[in-house]
Amino acid sequence: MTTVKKILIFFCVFVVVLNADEAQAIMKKVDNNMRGKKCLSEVKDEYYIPWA
Amino acid sequence: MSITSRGHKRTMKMETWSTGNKKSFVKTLYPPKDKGITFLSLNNQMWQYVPKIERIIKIPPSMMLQKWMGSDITNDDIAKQSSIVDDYKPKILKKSGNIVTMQLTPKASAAVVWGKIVSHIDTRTYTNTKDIFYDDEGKEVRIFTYKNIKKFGKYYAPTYWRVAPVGKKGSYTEIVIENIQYDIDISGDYFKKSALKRFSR
Repeated sequence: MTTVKKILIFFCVFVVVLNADEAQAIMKKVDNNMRGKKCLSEVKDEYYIPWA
Repeated sequence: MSITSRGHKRTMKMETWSTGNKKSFVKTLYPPKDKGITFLSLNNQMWQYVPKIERIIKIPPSMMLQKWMGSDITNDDIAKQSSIVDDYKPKILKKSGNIVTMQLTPKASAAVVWGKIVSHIDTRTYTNTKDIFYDDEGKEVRIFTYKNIKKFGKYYAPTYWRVAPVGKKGSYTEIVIENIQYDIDISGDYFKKSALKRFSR
């Protein structure tokens, strides 16, 4: 395998990992907003919705 | 919550308590005929208490995709309301301004019912604007639309949800959240089976 190919494969893997990390981070922020769990050590992970 | 089906509309009011990602309790307040019906979800299992017959009923796994209280959300949505982050693997499909489109596919180990979910997220508030749910064959099954983002303390949440099953014109469920209190002390008593009857009144 040529060096160019290796660099290309590394770059592709790097981009995929970056995308997965960013996607996971976004989903966690959305989940935090829905459930009020900003940080387990910072606040309690409890919420209450009066719908009425 | 308003449920519209074939031109007929009915409205319900309820309260929800939740802690962590595996425990929630729902109490129906309105209409009078449904008042006091309670639901408890613990670790993806679900029970219902019906005051008229004074019975606690366990919702069997085969009923988890059935409509919850006649609405377009399912028992599974109530029981597994917080498992999306744990059970699905997210991938960014597109970024357009503040909106990120994500594809969520089930993890191999996850026992979930959807083939995939495409979620649109507003990164200004980190709230969903739209979720499209697909079955195992890649067919659209239902669409959630969210509006009226409000800030409750330090958290943002959409306060209007519209759930529309695909292919059932004129049928939809609207949910309006009037208030949310985050990070308050909730008694552990709400998450015991005895709560179903105790907090029904």
